[in-house]
Amino acid sequence: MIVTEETAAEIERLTIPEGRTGLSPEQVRASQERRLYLALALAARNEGYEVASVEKIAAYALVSKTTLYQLFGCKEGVLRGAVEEFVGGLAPAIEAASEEGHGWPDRLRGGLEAVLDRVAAESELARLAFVEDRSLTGLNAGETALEALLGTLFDSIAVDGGAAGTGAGLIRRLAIGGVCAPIADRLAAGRDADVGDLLPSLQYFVITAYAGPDRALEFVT
Amino acid sequence: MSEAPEPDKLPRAGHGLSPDQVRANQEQRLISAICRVVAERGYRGASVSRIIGSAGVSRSTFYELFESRSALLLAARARLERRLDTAIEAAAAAAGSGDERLHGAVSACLAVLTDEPGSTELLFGASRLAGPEAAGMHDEAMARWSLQLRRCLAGLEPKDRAPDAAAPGASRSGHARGDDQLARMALGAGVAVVRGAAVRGRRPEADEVVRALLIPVAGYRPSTRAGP
Repeated sequence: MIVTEETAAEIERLTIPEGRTGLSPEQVRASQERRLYLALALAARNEGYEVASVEKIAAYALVSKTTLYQLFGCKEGVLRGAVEEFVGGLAPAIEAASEEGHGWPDRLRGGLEAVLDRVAAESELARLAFVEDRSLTGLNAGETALEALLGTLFDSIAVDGGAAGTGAGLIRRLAIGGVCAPIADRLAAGRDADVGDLLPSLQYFVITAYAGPDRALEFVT
Repeated sequence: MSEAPEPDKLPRAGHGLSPDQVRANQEQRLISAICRVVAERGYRGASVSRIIGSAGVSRSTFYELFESRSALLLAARARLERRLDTAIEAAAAAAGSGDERLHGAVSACLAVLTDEPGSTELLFGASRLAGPEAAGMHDEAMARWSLQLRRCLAGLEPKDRAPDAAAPGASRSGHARGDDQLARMALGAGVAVVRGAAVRGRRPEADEVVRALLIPVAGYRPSTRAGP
Protein backbone atom coordinates (compact mmCIF):
# COMPACT_ATOMS: atom_id res chain seq x y z
CA MET A 1 0.00 0.00 0.00
CA ILE A 2 2.02 2.92 -1.30
CA VAL A 3 -0.43 5.53 -0.05
CA THR A 4 -0.33 4.32 3.53
CA GLU A 5 3.45 4.06 3.46
CA GLU A 6 3.69 7.65 2.24
CA THR A 7 1.31 8.78 4.95
CA ALA A 8 3.26 6.95 7.64
CA ALA A 9 6.46 8.53 6.34
CA GLU A 10 4.84 11.96 6.40
CA ILE A 11 3.80 11.47 10.02
CA GLU A 12 7.33 10.46 10.93
CA ARG A 13 8.73 13.49 9.14
CA LEU A 14 6.42 15.77 11.10
CA THR A 15 7.31 14.23 14.43
CA ILE A 16 9.15 16.53 16.78
CA PRO A 17 12.27 15.05 18.36
CA GLU A 18 12.39 14.75 22.12
CA GLY A 19 14.18 17.37 24.16
CA ARG A 20 14.64 21.08 23.55
CA THR A 21 13.33 21.85 20.09
CA GLY A 22 12.97 25.61 20.26
CA LEU A 23 9.43 25.29 18.89
CA SER A 24 6.56 27.30 20.32
CA PRO A 25 3.61 25.50 21.94
CA GLU A 26 1.53 26.51 18.89
CA GLN A 27 4.00 24.87 16.54
CA VAL A 28 4.03 21.71 18.62
CA ARG A 29 0.27 21.67 18.70
CA ALA A 30 0.05 22.19 14.92
CA SER A 31 2.40 19.27 14.38
CA GLN A 32 0.38 17.03 16.69
CA GLU A 33 -2.91 17.99 15.07
CA ARG A 34 -1.58 17.38 11.58
CA ARG A 35 -0.18 14.00 12.59
CA LEU A 36 -3.49 13.02 14.14
CA TYR A 37 -5.39 13.92 10.94
CA LEU A 38 -3.03 11.79 8.87
CA ALA A 39 -3.11 9.01 11.47
CA LEU A 40 -6.90 8.92 11.37
CA ALA A 41 -6.80 8.66 7.59
CA LEU A 42 -4.21 5.89 7.87
CA ALA A 43 -6.26 3.99 10.45
CA ALA A 44 -9.41 4.40 8.36
CA ARG A 45 -7.62 2.92 5.37
CA ASN A 46 -6.00 0.08 7.28
CA GLU A 47 -8.67 -0.90 9.77
CA GLY A 48 -11.76 1.04 8.73
CA TYR A 49 -12.93 4.15 10.55
CA GLU A 50 -15.40 2.32 12.77
CA VAL A 51 -12.88 -0.22 14.00
CA ALA A 52 -9.97 2.21 14.39
CA SER A 53 -9.45 2.77 18.11
CA VAL A 54 -8.19 5.92 19.79
CA GLU A 55 -5.16 3.88 20.90
CA LYS A 56 -4.37 2.92 17.32
CA ILE A 57 -4.81 6.45 15.98
CA ALA A 58 -2.61 7.90 18.70
CA ALA A 59 0.01 5.23 18.03
CA TYR A 60 0.00 5.98 14.29
CA ALA A 61 0.30 9.71 15.08
CA LEU A 62 3.18 9.09 17.47
CA VAL A 63 1.36 11.00 20.19
CA SER A 64 -0.11 9.85 23.48
CA LYS A 65 -3.79 9.08 23.95
CA THR A 66 -3.87 11.94 26.43
CA THR A 67 -2.73 14.35 23.73
CA LEU A 68 -5.48 13.16 21.38
CA TYR A 69 -8.11 13.68 24.07
CA GLN A 70 -6.71 17.10 25.01
CA LEU A 71 -6.72 18.32 21.42
CA PHE A 72 -9.93 16.76 20.06
CA GLY A 73 -11.87 15.06 22.85
CA CYS A 74 -12.60 11.91 20.83
CA LYS A 75 -12.09 10.17 17.49
CA GLU A 76 -15.03 12.02 15.96
CA GLY A 77 -13.36 15.28 17.01
CA VAL A 78 -10.26 14.35 15.02
CA LEU A 79 -12.46 13.68 11.99
CA ARG A 80 -14.21 17.04 12.37
CA GLY A 81 -10.85 18.80 12.70
CA ALA A 82 -9.44 17.09 9.62
CA VAL A 83 -12.52 17.94 7.57
CA GLU A 84 -12.40 21.58 8.70
CA GLU A 85 -8.73 21.72 7.76
CA PHE A 86 -9.50 20.41 4.28
CA VAL A 87 -12.50 22.65 3.71
CA GLY A 88 -10.68 25.65 5.21
CA GLY A 89 -8.08 25.42 2.48
CA LEU A 90 -10.65 24.83 -0.22
CA ALA A 91 -12.62 28.06 0.18
CA PRO A 92 -9.84 30.58 -0.59
CA ALA A 93 -8.53 28.41 -3.43
CA ILE A 94 -11.95 28.33 -5.12
CA GLU A 95 -12.52 32.04 -4.52
CA ALA A 96 -9.15 32.98 -5.97
CA ALA A 97 -9.60 30.77 -9.00
CA SER A 98 -13.13 32.01 -9.57
CA GLU A 99 -12.14 35.65 -9.35
CA GLU A 100 -9.33 35.25 -11.85
CA GLY A 101 -11.63 33.91 -14.55
CA HIS A 102 -13.20 36.03 -17.27
CA GLY A 103 -16.79 34.93 -17.71
CA TRP A 104 -18.51 31.90 -16.31
CA PRO A 105 -16.69 29.24 -18.37
CA ASP A 106 -13.33 30.40 -16.99
CA ARG A 107 -14.68 30.75 -13.49
CA LEU A 108 -16.20 27.28 -13.60
CA ARG A 109 -13.00 25.75 -14.89
CA GLY A 110 -10.99 27.61 -12.25
CA GLY A 111 -13.31 26.55 -9.45
CA LEU A 112 -13.31 22.88 -10.44
CA GLU A 113 -9.56 22.93 -11.00
CA ALA A 114 -9.08 24.40 -7.51
CA VAL A 115 -11.13 21.55 -6.04
CA LEU A 116 -9.15 18.90 -7.86
CA ASP A 117 -5.82 20.55 -6.95
CA ARG A 118 -6.82 20.65 -3.30
CA VAL A 119 -7.96 17.02 -3.40
CA ALA A 120 -4.68 15.94 -4.99
CA ALA A 121 -2.57 17.98 -2.56
CA GLU A 122 -4.47 16.86 0.53
CA SER A 123 -5.74 13.49 -0.57
CA GLU A 124 -5.81 11.93 2.89
CA LEU A 125 -7.86 14.78 4.35
CA ALA A 126 -10.01 14.82 1.23
CA ARG A 127 -10.67 11.13 1.69
CA LEU A 128 -11.91 11.78 5.20
CA ALA A 129 -14.21 14.55 3.90
CA PHE A 130 -15.59 12.75 0.84
CA VAL A 131 -15.55 9.12 1.91
CA GLU A 132 -15.37 8.64 5.67
CA ASP A 133 -17.57 11.50 6.80
CA ARG A 134 -21.26 10.79 6.67
CA SER A 135 -24.04 12.84 8.14
CA LEU A 136 -27.77 12.29 8.18
CA THR A 137 -28.38 15.22 5.88
CA GLY A 138 -27.71 13.03 2.87
CA LEU A 139 -24.47 14.87 2.16
CA ASN A 140 -21.02 14.29 3.55
CA ALA A 141 -18.67 17.10 4.52
CA GLY A 142 -17.03 17.21 1.10
CA GLU A 143 -20.35 17.41 -0.71
CA THR A 144 -21.65 20.03 1.72
CA ALA A 145 -18.54 22.15 1.22
CA LEU A 146 -18.70 21.90 -2.57
CA GLU A 147 -22.39 22.76 -2.58
CA ALA A 148 -21.68 25.87 -0.49
CA LEU A 149 -18.57 26.91 -2.40
CA LEU A 150 -19.51 25.98 -5.96
CA GLY A 151 -23.29 26.31 -5.89
CA THR A 152 -23.39 30.00 -6.78
CA LEU A 153 -20.75 29.47 -9.44
CA PHE A 154 -22.82 26.63 -10.91
CA ASP A 155 -25.99 28.70 -10.86
CA SER A 156 -24.22 31.48 -12.77
CA ILE A 157 -24.08 29.10 -15.74
CA ALA A 158 -27.84 29.25 -15.96
CA VAL A 159 -27.93 33.02 -15.46
CA ASP A 160 -24.96 34.06 -17.61
CA GLY A 161 -24.60 31.07 -19.87
CA GLY A 162 -27.65 31.66 -21.96
CA ALA A 163 -29.62 28.73 -20.63
CA ALA A 164 -33.33 29.21 -20.33
CA GLY A 165 -34.44 29.41 -16.73
CA THR A 166 -32.29 29.45 -13.66
CA GLY A 167 -30.68 26.67 -11.71
CA ALA A 168 -33.25 25.06 -9.49
CA GLY A 169 -32.21 23.43 -6.22
CA LEU A 170 -32.57 20.05 -7.87
CA ILE A 171 -30.10 20.89 -10.63
CA ARG A 172 -27.57 22.16 -8.14
CA ARG A 173 -28.01 19.06 -6.02
CA LEU A 174 -27.57 16.62 -8.85
CA ALA A 175 -24.64 18.58 -10.29
CA ILE A 176 -22.88 18.39 -6.93
CA GLY A 177 -23.73 14.70 -6.68
CA GLY A 178 -22.30 14.07 -10.12
CA VAL A 179 -19.10 16.00 -9.43
CA CYS A 180 -18.48 14.33 -6.08
CA ALA A 181 -19.11 10.74 -7.21
CA PRO A 182 -15.94 10.18 -9.28
CA ILE A 183 -13.83 12.18 -6.80
CA ALA A 184 -14.98 9.94 -3.95
CA ASP A 185 -14.44 6.83 -6.10
CA ARG A 186 -10.84 7.75 -6.85
CA LEU A 187 -10.10 8.67 -3.24
CA ALA A 188 -11.64 5.42 -2.00
CA ALA A 189 -9.59 3.44 -4.50
CA GLY A 190 -6.36 5.27 -3.65
CA ARG A 191 -6.24 6.76 -7.18
CA ASP A 192 -5.90 10.34 -5.98
CA ALA A 193 -2.79 11.02 -8.08
CA ASP A 194 -4.81 11.11 -11.30
CA VAL A 195 -7.81 12.99 -9.93
CA GLY A 196 -6.84 15.98 -12.11
CA ASP A 197 -7.82 13.95 -15.18
CA LEU A 198 -11.44 14.42 -14.19
CA LEU A 199 -11.51 18.13 -15.06
CA PRO A 200 -12.93 17.95 -18.63
CA SER A 201 -15.59 15.45 -17.67
CA LEU A 202 -16.63 17.52 -14.65
CA GLN A 203 -16.85 20.70 -16.73
CA TYR A 204 -18.84 18.95 -19.42
CA PHE A 205 -21.17 17.37 -16.88
CA VAL A 206 -21.92 20.57 -14.97
CA ILE A 207 -22.45 22.74 -18.04
CA THR A 208 -24.64 20.06 -19.61
CA ALA A 209 -26.72 19.83 -16.42
CA TYR A 210 -27.48 23.55 -16.52
CA ALA A 211 -27.28 24.55 -20.14
CA GLY A 212 -27.33 21.44 -22.30
CA PRO A 213 -24.62 19.57 -24.18
CA ASP A 214 -24.28 22.07 -27.02
CA ARG A 215 -23.11 24.74 -24.62
CA ALA A 216 -20.86 22.20 -22.90
CA LEU A 217 -19.18 21.33 -26.18
CA GLU A 218 -18.41 24.96 -26.83
CA PHE A 219 -16.25 25.24 -23.75
CA VAL A 220 -14.83 21.81 -22.97
CA THR A 221 -11.91 20.51 -24.92
CA MET B 1 -38.60 9.24 14.40
CA SER B 2 -39.23 6.20 16.55
CA GLU B 3 -37.72 2.82 15.90
CA ALA B 4 -40.94 0.85 15.55
CA PRO B 5 -40.57 -2.91 15.99
CA GLU B 6 -40.78 -5.00 12.86
CA PRO B 7 -44.47 -5.75 12.25
CA ASP B 8 -43.84 -9.34 11.14
CA LYS B 9 -42.63 -10.46 14.54
CA LEU B 10 -43.75 -14.03 15.21
CA PRO B 11 -45.95 -14.95 18.16
CA ARG B 12 -44.07 -16.67 20.98
CA ALA B 13 -45.68 -20.08 20.37
CA GLY B 14 -48.12 -21.91 18.17
CA HIS B 15 -47.01 -20.37 14.90
CA GLY B 16 -46.44 -23.75 13.29
CA LEU B 17 -43.29 -22.66 11.47
CA SER B 18 -40.18 -24.77 11.03
CA PRO B 19 -36.87 -23.66 12.63
CA ASP B 20 -35.67 -22.66 9.14
CA GLN B 21 -38.71 -20.47 8.61
CA VAL B 22 -38.27 -18.86 12.02
CA ARG B 23 -34.64 -18.21 11.24
CA ALA B 24 -35.50 -16.66 7.86
CA ASN B 25 -38.08 -14.45 9.55
CA GLN B 26 -35.57 -13.29 12.16
CA GLU B 27 -32.93 -12.57 9.51
CA GLN B 28 -35.36 -10.51 7.48
CA ARG B 29 -36.46 -8.57 10.55
CA LEU B 30 -32.85 -7.80 11.40
CA ILE B 31 -32.14 -6.72 7.83
CA SER B 32 -35.14 -4.42 7.83
CA ALA B 33 -34.16 -3.14 11.26
CA ILE B 34 -30.60 -2.20 10.30
CA CYS B 35 -31.97 -0.29 7.30
CA ARG B 36 -34.37 1.66 9.50
CA VAL B 37 -31.90 2.36 12.30
CA VAL B 38 -29.09 3.40 9.93
CA ALA B 39 -31.48 5.80 8.19
CA GLU B 40 -32.48 7.31 11.52
CA ARG B 41 -29.13 7.43 13.30
CA GLY B 42 -26.43 6.80 10.73
CA TYR B 43 -24.20 3.75 10.77
CA ARG B 44 -22.25 5.10 13.71
CA GLY B 45 -25.39 5.42 15.77
CA ALA B 46 -26.77 2.05 14.73
CA SER B 47 -25.70 -0.04 17.70
CA VAL B 48 -26.53 -3.72 18.01
CA SER B 49 -28.80 -2.81 20.94
CA ARG B 50 -30.83 -0.45 18.79
CA ILE B 51 -31.00 -2.89 15.90
CA ILE B 52 -32.21 -5.82 17.99
CA GLY B 53 -34.65 -3.53 19.79
CA SER B 54 -36.11 -2.45 16.48
CA ALA B 55 -36.17 -6.01 15.11
CA GLY B 56 -37.63 -7.53 18.28
CA VAL B 57 -35.02 -10.28 18.56
CA SER B 58 -32.74 -11.12 21.47
CA ARG B 59 -29.04 -10.34 21.54
CA SER B 60 -28.24 -14.06 21.62
CA THR B 61 -30.38 -14.65 18.52
CA PHE B 62 -28.60 -11.79 16.76
CA TYR B 63 -25.20 -13.34 17.41
CA GLU B 64 -26.41 -16.80 16.43
CA LEU B 65 -27.39 -15.39 13.04
CA PHE B 66 -24.67 -12.78 12.45
CA GLU B 67 -21.14 -12.52 13.69
CA SER B 68 -21.32 -8.75 14.04
CA ARG B 69 -23.18 -5.59 13.04
CA SER B 70 -20.90 -5.36 10.02
CA ALA B 71 -21.86 -8.90 8.96
CA LEU B 72 -25.52 -7.95 9.17
CA LEU B 73 -24.89 -4.88 7.02
CA LEU B 74 -23.14 -7.05 4.42
CA ALA B 75 -26.09 -9.45 4.36
CA ALA B 76 -28.56 -6.59 4.04
CA ARG B 77 -26.51 -5.00 1.30
CA ALA B 78 -26.20 -8.29 -0.62
CA ARG B 79 -29.95 -8.88 -0.45
CA LEU B 80 -30.77 -5.35 -1.61
CA GLU B 81 -28.21 -5.50 -4.41
CA ARG B 82 -29.73 -8.75 -5.68
CA ARG B 83 -33.19 -7.19 -5.74
CA LEU B 84 -31.93 -4.10 -7.56
CA ASP B 85 -29.92 -6.15 -10.06
CA THR B 86 -32.98 -8.28 -10.80
CA ALA B 87 -35.13 -5.18 -11.26
CA ILE B 88 -32.61 -3.55 -13.58
CA GLU B 89 -32.09 -6.69 -15.66
CA ALA B 90 -35.83 -7.20 -16.05
CA ALA B 91 -36.30 -3.59 -17.16
CA ALA B 92 -33.38 -3.83 -19.58
CA ALA B 93 -34.87 -6.94 -21.18
CA ALA B 94 -38.36 -5.47 -21.50
CA ALA B 95 -39.86 -4.36 -24.78
CA GLY B 96 -40.11 -0.68 -25.61
CA SER B 97 -37.90 2.26 -26.43
CA GLY B 98 -34.64 3.02 -24.64
CA ASP B 99 -36.38 5.82 -22.82
CA GLU B 100 -39.13 3.51 -21.63
CA ARG B 101 -36.60 0.93 -20.45
CA LEU B 102 -34.71 3.59 -18.50
CA HIS B 103 -37.93 4.79 -16.87
CA GLY B 104 -38.85 1.18 -16.13
CA ALA B 105 -35.52 0.45 -14.49
CA VAL B 106 -35.65 3.60 -12.35
CA SER B 107 -39.23 2.94 -11.28
CA ALA B 108 -38.41 -0.65 -10.38
CA CYS B 109 -35.37 0.40 -8.35
CA LEU B 110 -37.34 3.07 -6.51
CA ALA B 111 -39.98 0.45 -5.71
CA VAL B 112 -37.31 -1.77 -4.12
CA LEU B 113 -35.93 1.14 -2.09
CA THR B 114 -39.42 2.13 -0.96
CA ASP B 115 -40.30 -1.44 -0.05
CA GLU B 116 -37.37 -1.54 2.40
CA PRO B 117 -37.49 1.75 4.33
CA GLY B 118 -34.05 3.12 5.10
CA SER B 119 -32.34 1.06 2.42
CA THR B 120 -31.22 4.17 0.50
CA GLU B 121 -28.96 5.29 3.33
CA LEU B 122 -27.63 1.79 3.92
CA LEU B 123 -26.78 1.29 0.26
CA PHE B 124 -25.42 4.70 -0.62
CA GLY B 125 -24.38 6.27 2.69
CA ALA B 126 -23.38 3.74 5.30
CA SER B 127 -21.57 1.04 3.39
CA ARG B 128 -18.35 2.90 2.83
CA LEU B 129 -18.14 3.35 6.61
CA ALA B 130 -18.65 -0.27 7.54
CA GLY B 131 -15.19 -1.61 6.82
CA PRO B 132 -13.26 -2.61 3.71
CA GLU B 133 -15.57 -5.46 2.67
CA ALA B 134 -18.71 -3.32 2.70
CA ALA B 135 -16.87 -0.46 1.00
CA GLY B 136 -15.69 -2.90 -1.68
CA MET B 137 -19.25 -4.13 -2.23
CA HIS B 138 -20.44 -0.54 -2.54
CA ASP B 139 -17.77 0.37 -5.07
CA GLU B 140 -18.33 -2.80 -7.12
CA ALA B 141 -22.07 -2.20 -7.22
CA MET B 142 -21.63 1.41 -8.30
CA ALA B 143 -19.24 0.31 -11.05
CA ARG B 144 -21.71 -2.36 -12.18
CA TRP B 145 -24.67 0.01 -12.22
CA SER B 146 -22.61 2.68 -13.99
CA LEU B 147 -21.82 0.17 -16.72
CA GLN B 148 -25.49 -0.71 -17.08
CA LEU B 149 -26.38 2.97 -17.22
CA ARG B 150 -23.70 3.63 -19.82
CA ARG B 151 -25.12 0.84 -22.00
CA CYS B 152 -28.59 2.20 -21.50
CA LEU B 153 -27.58 5.78 -22.39
CA ALA B 154 -25.68 4.58 -25.43
CA GLY B 155 -28.80 2.74 -26.60
CA LEU B 156 -31.14 5.71 -26.41
CA GLU B 157 -32.72 6.71 -29.67
CA PRO B 158 -32.28 10.27 -30.95
CA LYS B 159 -35.94 10.99 -30.23
CA ASP B 160 -35.23 10.47 -26.53
CA ARG B 161 -32.81 13.35 -26.52
CA ALA B 162 -33.61 17.00 -26.11
CA PRO B 163 -34.10 18.84 -29.42
CA ASP B 164 -30.89 20.79 -28.90
CA ALA B 165 -28.80 17.84 -27.78
CA ALA B 166 -25.45 17.01 -29.28
CA ALA B 167 -25.07 14.69 -32.22
CA PRO B 168 -25.69 11.08 -31.31
CA GLY B 169 -22.90 8.85 -30.20
CA ALA B 170 -19.97 11.15 -29.84
CA SER B 171 -18.93 14.75 -29.72
CA ARG B 172 -16.16 17.08 -30.80
CA SER B 173 -14.66 17.00 -27.32
CA GLY B 174 -14.64 13.25 -27.18
CA HIS B 175 -17.49 13.04 -24.70
CA ALA B 176 -19.70 10.28 -25.93
CA ARG B 177 -23.08 9.28 -24.67
CA GLY B 178 -21.49 6.00 -23.64
CA ASP B 179 -18.63 7.61 -21.74
CA ASP B 180 -17.80 5.65 -18.55
CA GLN B 181 -16.95 8.70 -16.49
CA LEU B 182 -20.08 10.57 -17.49
CA ALA B 183 -22.22 7.55 -16.71
CA ARG B 184 -20.64 7.37 -13.26
CA MET B 185 -21.35 11.07 -12.71
CA ALA B 186 -24.92 10.64 -13.90
CA LEU B 187 -25.35 7.78 -11.45
CA GLY B 188 -23.91 10.01 -8.72
CA ALA B 189 -26.42 12.68 -9.66
CA GLY B 190 -29.26 10.17 -9.56
CA VAL B 191 -28.16 8.89 -6.16
CA ALA B 192 -27.94 12.48 -4.88
CA VAL B 193 -31.55 13.05 -5.90
CA VAL B 194 -32.70 9.78 -4.30
CA ARG B 195 -30.80 10.46 -1.07
CA GLY B 196 -31.96 14.06 -0.96
CA ALA B 197 -35.57 12.87 -1.13
CA ALA B 198 -34.96 10.10 1.41
CA VAL B 199 -33.60 12.45 4.08
CA ARG B 200 -36.69 14.62 3.59
CA GLY B 201 -38.85 11.57 4.17
CA ARG B 202 -40.39 11.44 0.73
CA ARG B 203 -40.24 9.01 -2.14
CA PRO B 204 -38.42 10.52 -5.12
CA GLU B 205 -40.31 10.73 -8.37
CA ALA B 206 -39.02 8.49 -11.15
CA ASP B 207 -39.07 11.46 -13.53
CA GLU B 208 -36.64 13.54 -11.49
CA VAL B 209 -34.22 10.63 -11.15
CA VAL B 210 -34.44 9.93 -14.88
CA ARG B 211 -33.67 13.57 -15.62
CA ALA B 212 -30.55 13.32 -13.45
CA LEU B 213 -29.45 10.16 -15.24
CA LEU B 214 -30.02 11.73 -18.65
CA ILE B 215 -27.70 14.68 -18.10
CA PRO B 216 -24.81 13.35 -20.21
CA VAL B 217 -27.20 12.67 -23.05
CA ALA B 218 -29.63 15.50 -23.19
CA GLY B 219 -29.08 18.00 -20.46
CA TYR B 220 -32.05 19.38 -18.68
CA ARG B 221 -33.63 22.81 -18.85
CA PRO B 222 -36.13 23.50 -16.11
CA SER B 223 -38.10 26.05 -18.11
CA THR B 224 -38.38 24.12 -21.33
CA ARG B 225 -38.83 20.54 -20.15
CA ALA B 226 -41.08 19.17 -17.46
CA GLY B 227 -39.50 20.52 -14.28
CA PRO B 228 -39.85 19.75 -10.58
